[in-house]
Amino acid sequence: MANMDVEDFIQQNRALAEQVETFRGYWESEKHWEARREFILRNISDYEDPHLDQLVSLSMVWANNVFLGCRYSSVLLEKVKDMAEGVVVEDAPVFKTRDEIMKKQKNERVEYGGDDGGGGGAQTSTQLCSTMAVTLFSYSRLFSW
Amino acid sequence: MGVPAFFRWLSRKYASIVVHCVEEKGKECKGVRIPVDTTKPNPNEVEFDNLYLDMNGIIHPCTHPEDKPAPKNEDEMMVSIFEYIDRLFNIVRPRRVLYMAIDGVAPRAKMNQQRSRRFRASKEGVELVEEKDRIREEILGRGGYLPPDEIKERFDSNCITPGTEFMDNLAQCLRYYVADRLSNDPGWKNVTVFLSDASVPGEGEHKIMDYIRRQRAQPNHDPNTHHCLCGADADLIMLGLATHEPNFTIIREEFKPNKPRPCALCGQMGHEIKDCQGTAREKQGQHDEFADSMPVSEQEFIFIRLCVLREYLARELTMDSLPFPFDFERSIDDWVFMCFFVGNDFLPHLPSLEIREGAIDRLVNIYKDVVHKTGGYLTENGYVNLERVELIMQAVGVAEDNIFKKRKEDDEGFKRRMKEKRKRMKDQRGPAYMTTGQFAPQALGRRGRPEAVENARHQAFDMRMQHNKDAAQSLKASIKNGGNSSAGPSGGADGRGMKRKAEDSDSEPEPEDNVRLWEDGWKQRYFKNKFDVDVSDEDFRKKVVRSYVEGLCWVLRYYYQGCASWKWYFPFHYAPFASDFKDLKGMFTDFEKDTKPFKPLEQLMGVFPAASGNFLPTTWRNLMSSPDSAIIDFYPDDFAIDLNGKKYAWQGVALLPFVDEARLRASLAEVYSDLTPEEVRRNSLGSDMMFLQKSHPLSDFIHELYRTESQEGTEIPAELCHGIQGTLNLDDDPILPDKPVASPIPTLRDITQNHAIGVKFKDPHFASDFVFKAVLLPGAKMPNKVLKPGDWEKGNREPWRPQLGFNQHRQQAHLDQSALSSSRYYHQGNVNN
Repeated sequence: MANMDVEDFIQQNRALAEQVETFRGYWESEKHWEARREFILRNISDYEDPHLDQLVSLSMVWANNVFLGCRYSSVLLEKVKDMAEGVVVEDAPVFKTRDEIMKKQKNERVEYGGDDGGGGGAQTSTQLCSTMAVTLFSYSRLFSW
Repeated sequence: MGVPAFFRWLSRKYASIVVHCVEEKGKECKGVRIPVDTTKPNPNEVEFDNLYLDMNGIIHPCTHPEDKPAPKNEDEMMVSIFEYIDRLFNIVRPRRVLYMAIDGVAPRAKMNQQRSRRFRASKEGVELVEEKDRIREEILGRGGYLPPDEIKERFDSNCITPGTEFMDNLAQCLRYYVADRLSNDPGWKNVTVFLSDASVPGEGEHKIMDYIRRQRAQPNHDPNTHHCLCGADADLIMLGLATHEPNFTIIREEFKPNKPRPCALCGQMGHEIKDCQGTAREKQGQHDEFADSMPVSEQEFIFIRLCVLREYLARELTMDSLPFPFDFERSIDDWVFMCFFVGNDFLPHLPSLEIREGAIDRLVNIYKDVVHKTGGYLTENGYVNLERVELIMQAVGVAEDNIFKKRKEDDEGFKRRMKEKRKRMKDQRGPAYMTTGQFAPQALGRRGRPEAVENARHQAFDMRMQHNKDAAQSLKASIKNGGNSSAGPSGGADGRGMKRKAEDSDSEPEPEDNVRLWEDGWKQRYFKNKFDVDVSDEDFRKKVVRSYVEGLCWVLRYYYQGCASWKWYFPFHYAPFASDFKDLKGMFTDFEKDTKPFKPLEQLMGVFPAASGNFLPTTWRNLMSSPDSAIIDFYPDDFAIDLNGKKYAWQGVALLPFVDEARLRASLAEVYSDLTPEEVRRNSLGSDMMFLQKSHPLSDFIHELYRTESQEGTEIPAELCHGIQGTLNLDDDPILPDKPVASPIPTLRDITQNHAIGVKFKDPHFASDFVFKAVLLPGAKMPNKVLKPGDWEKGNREPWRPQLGFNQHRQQAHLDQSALSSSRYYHQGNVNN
């Protein structure tokens, strides 16, 4: 349904549609691009030329959030959610962000630490803390900057 | 190279490339440290001409060390860097050139990796601070003691990026350091010092390569120059081989695994932050005089001899009955290329090629097999022949399925063995039987000897009786329980009802893996999971392969010719499969020409997260966090990590969006005018510098340039500087002899008697389409062979004596003068016993 709207719009606004095509990223698959293109086209009337970059940026915020798993400030995410009304994405990928992973590992440490007074818990927490220390410095040591 | 395992693999397979460094230590007399006289011959029994320092490999460990407490302030960091360079100078003793290269703005291809690191480092820093605060409160609540710590700001290692104030200060400090050593250290007297700081674009190691490459291409270069390159990266080895200079050695710190680290909270050794008790540090020595001396051994250095590596590779890569003439130098280039396949900083590596699975050996075997079909070498002077590479890739592709299955088998086997080992360790809680009472073991060394046992037989009788009583009781109990077999005292009685610990509770939960490469259908799942496309989308897959092929060409060109494009980058987070490399001919022609690097502050906008915005001017920083910014999408607060089957966040792939260069430039255009003059200076591109002591033959020539205020660039006369060529330009605020140099570091003296002279330097110029040849230069003499010849047994009766250092004929073991005199003294009976 939404696709038909988009198709019609493109037919009727050839020049604009061509301009929008230039916003496509090399790495964007058909599915990702079509969704983001719709986002842009649905909001394009609100953004005059000098501010077009802002629209592109917001479309990327939305796309990065949906397809790449990025998180931005709640203000920003709310805004793009409103702007994305009507855009349907089927089968969106699922992600775990870094904060979520770190929190999960921290909880596991507590969990296992409680259950098993000795071995397992200590192991996990050692690894967590040494992970932090290692990660902070690991890049500098063995990798080039 | 982002493959730390590479060096481990290389040094295990080709063990003789490693030589331990002999480091002469300074002597101390009445509390005064006497510096080492580096004009003396090198104790390593080799004389080096040029020493190149990849400075970032020095800056990081000196500013945020792993194995000792961090320096308290920036001045201490600078002094630490100076001392480190002094150590290297002492070990290597370059006689002609010292080249210090600091990372400048890197090519775009590298920036994505830098971005990922900085985003992660920023978050980890925040987490560490939170953890420290939490534990600190706990300890103080319990009445423990901690040094007053957080007055100083936590050192954000992200400031080690071109364009920051810190890097600017560092450049100033290094100029002072060079002037000081040239003026005061006799070992530096004849050395030409080059300094390429962060304002000159290019990664440190590549600036060094550019220098060497361009010197090699000019007619006055000495082909037997002995180079020594300092750095920890494995790809320095590749770079060294790519130069085709016969005398090339790498120096690096010897990696000692499991070195103890000080606690991040109280700075003491022996425990980690989670175990910190906040106890006062024990006094070391009667008046705490040993306080700052670490009871850990100082890090040692090792040499990697590339001429020995060449000998090894000659054996491995020599092929007979080829349909084309065999050229060993070309085989080396092909080997270097295949190593890049397995890992480099610019492309994610192919899922089927892991170094620890012997990927390089696999590629070399395929290479030797397939070479009859390929009809020639894979590369030439850093240009890739795509058709031939396709043949290699297809051969790997055929093996991919088996590689994944075997990997899973090996992983499972490893996990099984680890579990069994843990079980074994757990069950061994101490000896099965311990004597008690008078017979209980006593620790030695306590005051007062253990008492003699009294009435031994009586005691033994009592013990037997007690043991019999216990046994009878437990027998009764087990009969009562209806014959529940129980191995030990804890078994039967509380068997039921108690939550049986899951067998796996000792091990961490299995990491998730949605792709499961070892199961059929892996290709579908990989493309769906990683790229969110259907495996049938051939066009998309071709796009990924094309970008990857471009990447391979770019990387090889980067090492052999220099940066082909400052703009190119690989726009995906994952690599395709080897089996996807089809129809490569004509896929890639050439890179966009005349690309330019980012300016330093622009680059900061491209690699920093919003949390490191404090390094940028205010209006620029704003662009990272304001919802109205047209580039706000570049700076997510949190990002996804694809664990890829791994356990920890830092092992996973960070899914950060790629920076759109055009949009970044457009946004910055609006705030460029807000830069202060200081910031404008930091944002501009700088020049390499050359420094000499005033008695150097070239020094008078340069002095004359200053006197005549010559405005144009001048070529170095070939005879004045060992055949080194380049263009000289006057520095705006030069270091001149007899002009005092102020010290930027409060604890170090100003240089009142300065004997150094400084001038701007540019590498010799070549046309943009000039091809630097990857060949041995005429007149190059190969060093003596070191490895045992294959036919040694047949021709000789004596056993082979391996060469341990640089000198074939070095004395195996000997006493130096002082030891000889001492032993004579004792042997002549001058001392009783």
